[in-house]
Amino acid sequence: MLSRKHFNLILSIIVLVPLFLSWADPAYAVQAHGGKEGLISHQLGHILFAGCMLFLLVTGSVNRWSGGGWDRFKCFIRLIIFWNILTFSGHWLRTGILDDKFVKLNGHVVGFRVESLLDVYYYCANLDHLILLPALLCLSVSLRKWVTSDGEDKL
Amino acid sequence: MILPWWPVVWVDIVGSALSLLIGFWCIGYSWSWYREQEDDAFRHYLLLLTISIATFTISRSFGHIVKQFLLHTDQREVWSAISPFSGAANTATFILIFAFGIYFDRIRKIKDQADNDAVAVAMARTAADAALESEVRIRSIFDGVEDAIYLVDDDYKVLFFNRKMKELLPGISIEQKCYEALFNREAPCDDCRFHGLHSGENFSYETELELISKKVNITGIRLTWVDQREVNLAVIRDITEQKRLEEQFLQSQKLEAVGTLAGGIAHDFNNLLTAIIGYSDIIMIGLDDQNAMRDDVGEIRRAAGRAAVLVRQLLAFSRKQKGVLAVIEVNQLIGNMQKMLDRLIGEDISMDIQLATDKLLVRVDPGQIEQVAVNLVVNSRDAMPDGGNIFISTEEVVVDAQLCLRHPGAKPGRFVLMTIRDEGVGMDKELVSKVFEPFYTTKEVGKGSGLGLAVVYGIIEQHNGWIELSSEVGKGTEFKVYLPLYDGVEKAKTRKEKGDIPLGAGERILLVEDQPEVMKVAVSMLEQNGYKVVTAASLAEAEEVFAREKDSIDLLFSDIVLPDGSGIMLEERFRALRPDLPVLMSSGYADDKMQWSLIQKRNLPFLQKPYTLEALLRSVSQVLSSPKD
Repeated sequence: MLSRKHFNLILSIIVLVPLFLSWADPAYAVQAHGGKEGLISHQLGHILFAGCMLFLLVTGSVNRWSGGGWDRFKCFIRLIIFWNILTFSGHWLRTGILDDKFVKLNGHVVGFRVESLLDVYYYCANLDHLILLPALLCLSVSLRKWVTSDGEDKL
Repeated sequence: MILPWWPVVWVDIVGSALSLLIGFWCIGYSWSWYREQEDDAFRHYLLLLTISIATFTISRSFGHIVKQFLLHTDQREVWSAISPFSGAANTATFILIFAFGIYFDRIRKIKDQADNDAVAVAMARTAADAALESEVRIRSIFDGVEDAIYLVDDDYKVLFFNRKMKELLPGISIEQKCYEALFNREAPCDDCRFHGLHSGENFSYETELELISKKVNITGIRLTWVDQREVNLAVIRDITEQKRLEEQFLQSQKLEAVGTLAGGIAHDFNNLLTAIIGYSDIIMIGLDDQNAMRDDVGEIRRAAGRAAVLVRQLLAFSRKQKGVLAVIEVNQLIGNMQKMLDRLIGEDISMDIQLATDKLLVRVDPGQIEQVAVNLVVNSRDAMPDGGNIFISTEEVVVDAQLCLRHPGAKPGRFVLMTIRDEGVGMDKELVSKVFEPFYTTKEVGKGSGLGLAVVYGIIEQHNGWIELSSEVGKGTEFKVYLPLYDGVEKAKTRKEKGDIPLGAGERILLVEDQPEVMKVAVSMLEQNGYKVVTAASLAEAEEVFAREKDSIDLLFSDIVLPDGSGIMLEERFRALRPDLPVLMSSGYADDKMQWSLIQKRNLPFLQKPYTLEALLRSVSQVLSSPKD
C-alpha cells in the first residue's frame, strides 16, 4: 500500500500538472487543436464531469452513505449533473444558431431573437449560473457540515 | 420575439462573482476540515477534489467576468484570443474532477481500511494493555500468596513464577525448564505429573526438593492463562516445618504412651519392692552380726534398692514421681553443682558456664532439676570420648506464638532457658527421634540404663516446661531446657536433719492397705519396732475399725489408692470425727487418681513406696511427734 506521503505527492501531481498544462501557451503543443476539436474536447469534459458525478451518486446510494453532509453533497451532485447537461446542450445548440439571432446595438448584444423552443432553451442555457450557483452553495454547505459535524456522516 | 440579453449578461456577471466567492469559500471549508486531521487520506482527497471543483468554478467565473468586461469594452478580438485558454482550462478541470470523482469511493475505502487498521491496532494495543494489566493483577495476587506458584507450558518451560517461588528457588528463571529448576535434571522426569493434567487429572503429592533440602507438597492443575494458552500451574507448599512438628508430635505421643506403661509397671513394682525391702530389713534385724545369712540378705536388700532407683527413674519419666516443689534460683542451683559436675566430666573435658546476671526463679523440685542437669552433662560427656567443651548457659526468654510453632509442647510466656551444648559426635535424625525413649541407649551393655534422657524428658514435662534438641553428626548436640519463670514470692526451702531411727512406744496405728504383701511387711516393720497395728484392706473396712476403736487409734497410715475409695476420703471422714488424728499417706506413684494436689494442699505427710524400714519409722515418728492441729 502507498504511504501517505507518496499518496499526497501523487494527488498533488494529478492536480497541479493538468492545471499547469491548461494554462500553458499553445506554442508548447506539438500539434494544433483548433476548431471543432476544442468544442468536442470541452463537451467530452462535460460528459466526464457529469459521468463521474453520476458515478459518485450511484456509489453513495449503493453503499448507503448517509448523514447531513452527504445529503447536501447529493444535492450538489444532482444540480451539477443538471448544469452539465444544460451547458453541454447549450454549447451544442450554439453551433447551430446563426449570429443574426443576436440583436446588436452599437456592436453589443442587447437581445435574442426567439423563433423556436430550442431558441428558448438556448436562452435559458445561457442563464446556467442560476443552476451552478445553488450547486456550489450545496457543495459549500455540505463541506461546512462535514467540518462542523465531524464523524457523524457515514461514508 | 426578441428576449432581452441583459438578464443573461447580469446573471453571468453576478453568478460568476458569487461562484468565485463560493469557490474560495469551499476551499476554505475543505482546508479547515483537512487541517483538523492532516493524516486522514480521505480529507486530503476531498480537499483536492474541492480544489479541482473550485478551480473550475474560479477559472470559469474569472473567464466569464473577463469576457463580459472585454465585450462591454469592445475588445472582442482580445476575448477571441484568450477564449480558447479559458475553455481549455475548464475542460482540463472537468477531466481533473472526473479523475478525482471516480476515485472517491476508492479513496474512501482506503480510508476505511486505514481506519480499520487503526482500530485494529488500537484494539490490539488495548488487548495487550489489558493482558498486561491482568498479568500485573494476577502477579500481585500470586505474590501475596505464601505458597510458591509457577506455570509451565507443555514444553516444560517456566512461563511465570511468584515471589515465594523465587524465595524458595532463587535460581529459577523464565524459559528455564521446570525439571532443571526444581530437580536439577537434564531431562523431563519419568513420572512427570503434568502429563496427567492433559486428561483432566489434577495431582497433589509430597516430595523432597533435594536442591533446597525441603519437604514440599506439590499440587497441579490445568488452566487457561491470561494469554489464552492452556498451561500447567503448580503450587508448592513448604511442609518441612509441618512435617517436623508432626514427627515431634508423634514422638511425644509415643513417649506419653511409653510413660503410661512405665508408670503402671513401676507402681506394681513398688508394691513388690516394698515387701522385698521391708522383709529384708526385718530379717536383717533378726540376724546377729555373725550370721552367714546377713550377706545374702544384704545382697537382696541392695538389689531391691537398685531396683527401687530404676523404678523411681521410670516414674520420673512417666511424670508420676511427684517431687516437693520449692522456689529456687537456677543460677544458684547450677553454681552449687559446679564442683560435682566437674568431677563427673573428668579432666579431658572443660566446662564453660555462662549464667544470666539476673535472678532466675523457678518453682521446681530442686532434686529433680539437679538430676536433669547431671543427666544432660553426663550425656554430653559421653558424646565426647576424646574430650572437648561443654557449654552451659542460662537466660530469661520470652516465648511468643511464633516460637511456640517450633515445638508442640511450647507455651507462650516468660521462661528460664537452660542450654547445655557439647562438641561431641552428634546424632543423626533417627537417633534424635529415639533419644528420649526409655531404655534406648547407644552405650555398651552395662554402661547405661537408657533412662537418663527419658528421665530428663519426664521431669521437664512434669514441670510444665519442654526440651528442645538439635544435633548434627560430627558437630555436637545442644539441649535447650525451658522452665516456667516463677514470678511469685520466693520461699525458703529447708531440709530436715537426719537423726537416729525412732522406735514406737505402743502407739496404735490403723494401717489401710489393699496390697496384702505390702500390708504384711508394713505390719511386721511397725510391730517389731514398738507399734501396735490394726489393719484394713479397704475404705469400708477401715471405717468399721475406726468406728469401733476411734479413740484408741493414734495414727491413720493409709495407701492413697483403695479399691472403694481413697486415703484422702478416709482422712476427711476420720478427721471429721477426730480432728486431731495424725495421718500419713503412702503410694507407689503420684498421678491424678492419687489426688496429689489435694495432698499438697492439705499438707498431708506422705511416704513414697517402696519405703525402707528407716523411712517408715522416721515418717511415723515425725507425724506422731508433730504438734496437733
